[in-house]
Amino acid sequence: MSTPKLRLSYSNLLDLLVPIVSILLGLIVGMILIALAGKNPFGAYGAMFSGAFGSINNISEVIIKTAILTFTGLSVAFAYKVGLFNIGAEGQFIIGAITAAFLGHWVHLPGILHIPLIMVASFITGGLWAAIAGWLKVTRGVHEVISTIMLNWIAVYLVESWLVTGPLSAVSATGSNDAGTPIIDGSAMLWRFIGYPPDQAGKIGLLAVIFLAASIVAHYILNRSPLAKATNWIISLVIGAGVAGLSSIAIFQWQYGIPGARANIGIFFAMAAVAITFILLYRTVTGYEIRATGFNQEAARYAGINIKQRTILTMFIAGGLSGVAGMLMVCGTERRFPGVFPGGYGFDGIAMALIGQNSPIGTFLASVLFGIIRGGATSMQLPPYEIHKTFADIIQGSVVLFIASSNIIRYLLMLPLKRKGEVD
Amino acid sequence: MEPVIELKGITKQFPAVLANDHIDLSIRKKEVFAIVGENGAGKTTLMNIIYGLYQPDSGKIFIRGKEMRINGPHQAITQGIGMVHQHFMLVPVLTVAENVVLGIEPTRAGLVMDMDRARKEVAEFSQKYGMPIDPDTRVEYLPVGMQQRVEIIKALFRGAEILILDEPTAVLTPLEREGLFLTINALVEQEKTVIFISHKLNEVMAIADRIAVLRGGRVMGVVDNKETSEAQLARMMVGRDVVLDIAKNPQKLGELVLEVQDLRAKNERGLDAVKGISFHLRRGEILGIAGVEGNGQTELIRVLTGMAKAESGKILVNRKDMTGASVKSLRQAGIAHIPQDRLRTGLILPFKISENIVLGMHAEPPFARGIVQQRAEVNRFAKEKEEEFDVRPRDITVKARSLSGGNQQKVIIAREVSSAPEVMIAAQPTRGLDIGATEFVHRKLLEERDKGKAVLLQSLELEEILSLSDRVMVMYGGEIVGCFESKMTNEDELAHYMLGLKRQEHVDA
Repeated sequence: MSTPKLRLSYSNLLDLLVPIVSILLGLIVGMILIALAGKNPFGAYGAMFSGAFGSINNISEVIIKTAILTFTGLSVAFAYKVGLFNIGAEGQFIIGAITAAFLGHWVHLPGILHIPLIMVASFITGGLWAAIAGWLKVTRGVHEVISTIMLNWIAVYLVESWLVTGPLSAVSATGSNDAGTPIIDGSAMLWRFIGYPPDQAGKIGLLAVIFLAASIVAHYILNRSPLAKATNWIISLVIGAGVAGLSSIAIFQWQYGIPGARANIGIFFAMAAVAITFILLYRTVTGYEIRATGFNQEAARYAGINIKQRTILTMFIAGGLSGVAGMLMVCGTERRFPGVFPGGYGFDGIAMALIGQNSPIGTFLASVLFGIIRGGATSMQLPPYEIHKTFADIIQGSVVLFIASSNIIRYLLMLPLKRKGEVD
Repeated sequence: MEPVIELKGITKQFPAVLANDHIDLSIRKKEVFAIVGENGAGKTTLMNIIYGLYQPDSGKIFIRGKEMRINGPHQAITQGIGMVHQHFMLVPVLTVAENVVLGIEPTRAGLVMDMDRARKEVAEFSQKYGMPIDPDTRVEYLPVGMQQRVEIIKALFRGAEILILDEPTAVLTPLEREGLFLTINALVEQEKTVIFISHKLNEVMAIADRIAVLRGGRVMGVVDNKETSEAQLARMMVGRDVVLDIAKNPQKLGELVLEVQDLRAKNERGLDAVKGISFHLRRGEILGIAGVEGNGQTELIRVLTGMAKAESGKILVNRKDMTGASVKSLRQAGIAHIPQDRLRTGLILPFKISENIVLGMHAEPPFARGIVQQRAEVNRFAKEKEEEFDVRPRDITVKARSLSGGNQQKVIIAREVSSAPEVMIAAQPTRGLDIGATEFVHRKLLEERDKGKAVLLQSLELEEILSLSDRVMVMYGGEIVGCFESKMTNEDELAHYMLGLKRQEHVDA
């Protein structure tokens, strides 16, 4: 009876291998294209690697991209769990971004309140935008692919062509209004923990993160000892505070941040979002019902699950995640809704979800990888390679194609077993 | 007599199971040869080997005395072997004649398809074998029984002398089954040989000349119809004595739990399907719903379980009006439901056993506190129920998809019984199950009755209904046309009502 068990684990391994092999194949396709253009693919990839990790600033850009991709990727992956294909992440992203730009400039609050307010508001507006598609689906049977694509265009024209150039536009010194919305308040900007000039709020944020991380690690370790729950938590928090206290000496001594390093606490939000979506999907009744609905609507109805309500709720949460992505862009790097919007993150989210096989953790790993590739591709533009930065899109596109043809990859990976005659 | 097919030492090993273990069989010309066995006994594998879909690891196949290697269905067809699969392989948008000639279309001058000839030949075949069918109807508009005829004609048209029918009655109504048996008799009269695969012993006894029993990939014996009995076959199949006649404890009738008054409902296409049904159900009784498929039983059950809305009428559970209530509130009121389609409705196939076994109870304590799932509690419960209901394999992390039909049904029954129902509504609970699993389901339903629960049992198998139910009501054309004490009636009488030949003046259900 050991044979079937072995096969089972191999098929589980395959689920993991398919995206990895697809990514490798995508990278190989990229190399072939570079070679065809008469350039050295290894050198170009080296440039991409150093472009991603060459300096703190470069790493910082990778972190920013990863955070935003994670949110839009989670958005698509989450909607998929209820069986919907959320093509509308881009529109929800734009709606979340304009919400952040509006509240960042026109509402004045201390930072500790301002950022949570904006985040909740962007989540809600992005979520409502997506919920329209969910509502149309369950009441009118409108296919979500159609409705979300249309909502994307409505968002683009509503926000970029009207709000940003009209009612919400900043009037620049020359009197023209092509600059986007006004710069947001300092209190609305996400804390940059390694930036220059040293950002006091950023340092406090970083300390808070160190405190929490140390406490959780301590708790996890102590969990194996026979301590009572409450005692465990108290000791963990004390350890966390100690670690944070020691770090604070170094952090507040640190006067020379790195100029231009824009990495901000958005990445921690993204990691938290991965954990929260995972818990929501796999440890709560809501997530169970969402997955049940996604797999088999008839059986979900039979179990007494309100599938209409679950569908709309799922779309709301999915849209909310994209909305927060827009908020990260506005409050983290752009500091306003710019006149020329650096869009595309919503569409990239579809790729992240596909490559991550619609799992929260997989989506995060895909986002890290493409954060690196996208961050590094900028450096490949420089001589001697002079490869256009849209090269990253080529790699991403070919990986998605390989994922889409995963049955072929699966078949190829099964061949060694077939030869041994273990699989019928 | 010279055998048409002879198998010698056929062995087929799959990764986890030895599907066929040195099988020796010889099948004679002009006989109806039945192969019976529980699910997983190796019947279908063996047939697929004969039809060339699988290659045996060892063993020999002789056809009309000559040793053959059958490398694929194409070769099987040239040897005069035809197979009708459980799931039909027809093109729904093509007509009967077009389906029959598909791939070997008769042509005029080698170019233009000759539909007239195709039509004529199909008509000839259907007449010769007593299978009336209109060659110009599109297959998608045909009932299942007719589609099966198209499959049989298709095989004959390709020159089949030996016809393999893989569980042909699984999808048929009792009336269609009678039609199939007539066809089989006609085929044998025309010098054909029929291999009939089934796990329904009464059918085998009704149609087969000789019967081979398979268990665990081995032939347990080949018996002559005249020299055997259902009980003997069952013993050979299962390996122990099987209680075919269920001994029921005396009934302890309790108070009224479910009352239905003048209920009307439409089907999914918006046509009237339930036309004014009234009945009542009391604790400690099993009320059977008999009827030919498509007479409103499915719609009635959908309405009673909250899956569909009633047009008018009333449903009272424990004297409380629950008309139009949601599935959730009906479940809370104590309605449990074993659905007729376990794959489409009863289970979420990509979910683990542990996740499936709390479906419908998943949001209630102790399986959830607020919105947080209590996984330890769910797993403990799943392990306990796996043990109690003998679900195999004993592993709660296995996906429902990879369970056998019987074990899938056990998961559903474990769940529905444990939801502590007042009323158990069971729709065709043994459909597609083998003898062992069927016996198990029957025992569980009787246990529920003896515990003082009310059971509403809908089935297409008259024998099942008669042996389990205390009362039987017959549905015909969306109405209840008769209600009987099961002790006071028999299959013959019920059949008259099921076919609409008779109805009671005043039905007291």
